[in-house]
Parts: sequence; structure tokens; C-alpha cells
Amino acid sequence: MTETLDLDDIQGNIVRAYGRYNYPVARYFFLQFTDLSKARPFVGAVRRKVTTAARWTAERPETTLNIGFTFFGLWALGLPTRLLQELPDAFFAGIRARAYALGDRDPAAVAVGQEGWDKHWDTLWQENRVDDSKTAGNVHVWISINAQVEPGTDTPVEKIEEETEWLIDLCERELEGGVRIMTGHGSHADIPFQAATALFETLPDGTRRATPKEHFGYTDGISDPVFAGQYPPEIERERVIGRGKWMDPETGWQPLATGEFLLGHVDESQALPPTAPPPEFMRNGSFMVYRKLHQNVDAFRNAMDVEAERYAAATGVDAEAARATVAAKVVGRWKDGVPLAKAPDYAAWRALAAEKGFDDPETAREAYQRYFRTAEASDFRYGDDMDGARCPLGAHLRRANTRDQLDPDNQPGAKNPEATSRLNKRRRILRRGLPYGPSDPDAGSDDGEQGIIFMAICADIFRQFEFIQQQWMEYGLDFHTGNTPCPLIGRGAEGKIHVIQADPEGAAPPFIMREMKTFVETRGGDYFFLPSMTALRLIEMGVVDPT
Amino acid sequence: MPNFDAGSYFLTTLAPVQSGSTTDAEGATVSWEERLRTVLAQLPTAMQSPATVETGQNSPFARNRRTHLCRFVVIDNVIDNGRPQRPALLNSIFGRDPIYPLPVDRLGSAYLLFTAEIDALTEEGGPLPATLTEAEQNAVRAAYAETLRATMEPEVRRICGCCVGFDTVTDGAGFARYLARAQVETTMPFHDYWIDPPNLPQLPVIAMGAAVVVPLLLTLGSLLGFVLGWTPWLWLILGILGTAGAVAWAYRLAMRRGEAPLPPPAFGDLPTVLKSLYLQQQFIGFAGAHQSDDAAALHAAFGAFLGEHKPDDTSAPTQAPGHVSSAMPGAVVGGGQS
Repeated sequence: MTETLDLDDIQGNIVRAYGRYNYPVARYFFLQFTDLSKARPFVGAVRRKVTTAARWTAERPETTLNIGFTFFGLWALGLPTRLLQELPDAFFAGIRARAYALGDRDPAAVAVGQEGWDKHWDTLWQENRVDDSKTAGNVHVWISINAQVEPGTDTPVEKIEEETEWLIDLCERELEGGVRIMTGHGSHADIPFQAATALFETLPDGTRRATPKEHFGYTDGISDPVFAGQYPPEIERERVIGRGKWMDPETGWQPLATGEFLLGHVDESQALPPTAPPPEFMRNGSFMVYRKLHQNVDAFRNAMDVEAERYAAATGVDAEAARATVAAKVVGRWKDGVPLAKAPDYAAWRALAAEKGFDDPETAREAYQRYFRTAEASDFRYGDDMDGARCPLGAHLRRANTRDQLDPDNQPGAKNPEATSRLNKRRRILRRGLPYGPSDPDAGSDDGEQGIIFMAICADIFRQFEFIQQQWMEYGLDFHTGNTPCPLIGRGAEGKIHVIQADPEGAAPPFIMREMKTFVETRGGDYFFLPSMTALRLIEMGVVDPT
Repeated sequence: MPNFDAGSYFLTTLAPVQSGSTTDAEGATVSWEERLRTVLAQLPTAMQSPATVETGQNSPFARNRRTHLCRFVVIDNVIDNGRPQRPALLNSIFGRDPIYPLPVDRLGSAYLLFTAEIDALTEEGGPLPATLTEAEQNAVRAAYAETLRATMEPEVRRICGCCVGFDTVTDGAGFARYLARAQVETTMPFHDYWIDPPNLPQLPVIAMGAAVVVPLLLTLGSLLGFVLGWTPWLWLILGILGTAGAVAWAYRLAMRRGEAPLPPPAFGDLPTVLKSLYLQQQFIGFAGAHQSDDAAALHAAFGAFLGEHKPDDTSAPTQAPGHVSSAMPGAVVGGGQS
């Protein structure tokens, strides 16, 4: 039966990645309740502006607004102990306390004597949760405002300024400074928000257009999960291909259970995910991971250049093909988003580009749009590539979404056409967020201010996000790659390697990449609860009753 | 014989902890159980994390090359699952008033559980045996007791001294007798060093089925005969006896096959496992460094690799026991000597 959700009760960022809905600019505000008596009035004022998941028909808002709370935010709101003590321990502990498990701290160093391990974090996050009190430097609230841009430019609509001024006015004047907008975002120390923007490109006619690229130049977030009720049935049928769970050849791709991403709904274990009482407080809410991920653009480019040279020497391919291949074998997709599963080598990629019309500057734009609108770039599995000859076993893409490769009946090196999404359907996250930093592809350096505002939405931070990060990004046993971390976002350490598996039918040996440094590192973040509209009202009215 | 399986000996002992009070290292009065728990808490674990590396102290079990894995557990008491539930209706009919408590199972003392998986050998290294008689198994246990006495007697005394009956142990033979007294059968050994699936004993399922079904059909046929007015008493008795005998035979055969130890894996003894860990780590570095070499250079380099790392020599160079990585300080035995 088709799942029908109460979309007016659910926050809009849970069902929509705004960047893909033509809201390519965002401001992320972090706030603290300094006068606890102003906390509930604040929630009351903000909730009337929150963008819900209701379907957009003719009219779309120019900007969107969403809100989330840390554990200490909920505590400062005076919620009952009975509720607070049943919230998940990962949410209670926060990202800083989980730094070792998430790969944000050097696992080769003991904790004692490591004060200042987070000195590369933004000051906002360095001061967060140092002192587990209701105030100190603790972040309580996250508010996001996403905006459309003026047509043909990368300038956000004027409304984003109006909304920003409204928020500042609310905190400073109306609530008499009882809510503080926090600063300390990277090198922009005084700006009261974390700015984020898609990377824009300039078209031949001089207009600017948002791209789905991140700062290494790769297309991000193509296979974002699809859950039951997220889309109307006619859209779900197409969207679910390659993004849901693979059942069997007859049933095909199915949407993931709603409860994997929305509390109060049945999840993939066919049970309700655990929630704190009362049920209506957490129903239709979810949890969100916020991580500011800095990208060491220079380090990545240099490493790929060195590896490409070695790869060319070892395999005899030309320099251009070698450069494109080594990076694609790290990511799992070619630069334009074509998956290795569809085009395993340079020649196949170029052939596919010619076939689809990507090469012709006249038709390329439309051709790419056509390609990514369909399921072609996400409709693949790994059961037929268990030796990693197409997409290497340790590539980022295989780690982030394992699809059918962890089916218990799979054997290393043996094809299994019967493989399903078992063991994968409980480890999915909705990817939200945008890049931050300048759009100029040559501007990036290791020290520059560029990266991704990574936001992941899931019903269980520990089971979903933390598991993926710890077991699949920072460790490789599930992929038969020992203790190697993800070549793209995993922590760089002595001996970090990435193996490009060779075709077992061919004579070529595998290629071992050894220049794998830390290309992506955290600048801070925390875990947030995204309440439903009902829960926001309960908070404002002060009637959250767990008995 | 689950104490012996897959070429390994699985030792499980349960020793009662002394009752009453004693003193700890600082002279404070504590229970024997608390003293035991403190001694165990202070026993170094293996070099498996930066914190343990920083202490510079390895597990005393890393002083031998026979222990794959071992574990101490203090069993305080049995877990009580609560009052056995009975239907309220039966309680009221039979007068079992819940105001009167039922007896609760308790242990007479706390127990120290020790469990270890060791190579089933009396000497370190060498091929693992496929079968061992009970006497040979006891010799393995005794040899292990002597190894522990020789390599970690102070630790053994601190730990086992908290248990009943250890005060009479004066030598390795005495410790072997102590372990034998405290031993309980290991009922679920686990061992997984096979590279290829082992050749497991198969049951003759068709023959077993036929042996049961034929006399069973005879029995049923005889019963049918009674219905049809005949009196085949002899056939019925033969059928019943035959069925019972066949079931008993099939059951015993299945149990005997199940109890037979699994064959030892080809490279499952600890010195070989350590050597393979060492080689694996060395070879990754070698493969990465020489992947662009031409055939002659690669041949020469691989010759040097074999000369330096001696794949056939499990004694050296190799990874020392009690380290998770060859890269750790002091983790390589006999490195750089060639």
C-alpha cells in the first residue's frame, strides 16, 4: 500500500535536498539560549516560518527555513527529565565526544595530553560542549535558510537578507538578547552564520549556473535514498531506481521504509524506531548530523597527479587517461558523475560520453540533464562486480552506499546475480547540505576556506550515520580491504593505501595507490533533533507531557 | 571431545574464589573477590591500542607462542530470572500463594572463569595434530600449565592465589593438576583459520533414512494387517524393534560424527599465524614500491625480499605475540638481521 505521510507536520529539509530544488545558497545559523525564559517564545516565533514538507504546486517560497536542536538545546527548553533521559546516547554525547569513532581524532594518539587536538576546528565548534552545562559555549539551535538566486546569477534573492534581519531582530530586540546568534565560522569570524553555496559555472553567454559539483570537481549526492511517502507514486517509480533497496529481479527497487528516516514510522526491521516519550513529541521528527568538512584541494590534486604518473608508467595508458582513471577509481564515478559500474575504464567512459552527446558543447548541457534526470546514473549494483574490476572494492561510492555487495551469500571474487540490499537497507542516510567556499575551481588550496556542509538525516544516528562513518569510511573489513579507510574522505595515516583491482581475466596486476593523505577533515559539527510541527507547538506551549 | 578441535586445545576452568576478607596491595581490608578483580584489572592487555602501547607493558600471555586467545571472567553469581511464572488460575487452584517466595538459585561462592585457545602441542610450533587421545590431550594441558608457570608465575600466583586450593600448588606439575581439577568441558569451541573450507565428515543420510524407513513401513504394514483381519504379531514386533534399533543407530552415528574433531587447518598454529601477519604487512609495502618495475628488476627485488623476510622460517623475522601490527615498537622479532 502506498504510504501517505502528514507532510504538513514534517519539516521540509527531511524530504527535500533544497540544493536540488533550485535553492543553491544557504545560511546556517547556530544559536544559544542565554535567557532560558526566552527559549520557548523564540521557538514560537520561528515555528510560524518553518518550511514544511507539503508538496509545492504552483507557488514555491523564495526562501526556506528549518530548525533543529542539540541535546542541550532541548534541555535549555526545560523539557521533562523523563523525555531527556530516553533520548539516544549518541545524540546526548554529540560529535566531539565521538571524535575517535568518527575518525576526527588521531586513533594512534591517546587522549591524555592531547589538549588542542581540535585546534583546526572552527572556534564555534571548539567551544561547543567543552563544558557540559546549559550555556557556556554550547550550541542549542540550528536554523537554516536556503534561497533561490536571481535568474542567471549566483546572487541570492533579496528575501534571504530580509529573513536574516528578521532573525537578528527577533533575537536582539524582541527577545532582548535572550537568544544569542553565535559566531566563529572559520576565517569569517564575525559573520553570524555559516554561508554555503553550490559551485557555479559561467555559461558561454555569461550567465551563471549552479552545478552539483563539490570542490574536488565531482558530482555529489546522486544516489540519495528514497523512502516510502517521500514522493508522489508517479515520481517515486522513477526516483526509486538505484536509490531504494533492491529486492529481487521480479520486485526490483523498492523505497526504503519510512521509519529509517522519520521517527514514529515502521523501519526496515519492521518495528518502530526507539523514541522518548511522549510519542507525539518525536513522531514525524528525525535526527540530523551537521558536519563542516574541509577539503584539502591541493593535497588531493597533488596526490592524484603523482599517482597518475605512476599509473601511466605501470599500465602504459596516456597521461590524460591515467589522471582521469586514478581519481575515478578513488571516487567510484567519473568527474561528470557517470558511475564506474556503467563505464569501468577510460575508453568506455569516452564511448559513453560520445553516445550520450556529452562531448558536443552544443548538446552537452541538455544531454547531461537528460542523463541525470533518469535513473541511468544510479541504476547499478555490485553483485556482478565482487572482484572490484569495475569499481574498486574500497572506492568511496561502494563504502557510502554498499547496495547489494554485503549480501551474506556474496563471496569475494564470485558474481552473485541473486544479491539483494540486505545489510544495506538499515545503513542509509539522507544527504543534505551544500558546498561552502568560492566557486572558482582553481582557487582552492589546503588552507583555503572550502569544503562541504555535510548534513545527514536518519532515524538513528548511531546505527546509520556513525556506522557508515566508522565501519565503512574509516575501516575496510566489510570490503575485504583490511583496515584501509576510504581513499577520498577517510583519515590519512601511515600506510593508507587504495588498491585498484585488476580484471581477473586480464594479465595486468592490481595498482596500489600510496599517496593517500587526509583529503577531507572535520572543522566541527554536532547532532540535532529536527522536531515535527506538532513538537514545535508542544515546546512553545510548554505542554510536553511524557506521563 | 570438544576440548580438542581443529588442532587446537580449548581449555576452560572454573575455580571457586576464596570467601571472607583479605588485604589488597595497599593493606586495606577487601573481599577476596575484590582483590581478584583488582589484580585482573591491573593485568596488562596486549599491545592493541595506543594506550596499551604507551604503558610499555605487554600481556604476560604474549610471553609464549601457544596462546591464540584467552580470557578471565569473574562470575559473581548466577543471574536470577525472577520467580518462575505460572498461570494465576493454577496458582489459586493449587494454593501457591505468591506471598511465599520460591527458592532462588545461588552459587556457593564467586568463581574465576579462565578460557584459552591454544595450539594442541606439547612443544611450541610444528604441525597441528588431527587426532589426540585423552591422555595426549591431558599432556597438552600439562605442558601449557608448565609454560605458564615458567613464563608468568608471579602473575599466576597473584590471580590464582585468590582462589580455593591454589595454596598447595608449588610447581608446574601441581599447577597442571590444579587446572585439571578446575577444568570443565568446553562445549562450544570456535576456530576459524581455514583458508579453504575444511573437509567435513558427511553423514550417509540416504542409508540412514532407508535403515529407519524400511522397518517403519513394516510396522505400519503390520498395523494395517490387523485392520484387515490378519494377526501378524511377529512382523509387528520385528518392525517395532527394527525401527527402534535403526533410530538408535542413526542417532549414535550422527552424534559420533558430530563429536569427531574437525581437521586442523594447514596454517593454524600460532607461529605460522604470526609469520603470515608479518609477511602480509611486509608484502603490501613491497608490492606498492615495485609495481612499476620491469621484469628483471622485479625478479631481483623479490629475491631480496625472500632473502630478508624468509617466508619459510616461522621463528624469525616475524611478528611478536601480543601486537596487532608489525609497525608497533618492538613488534618484530629478528628483523633486519639478514
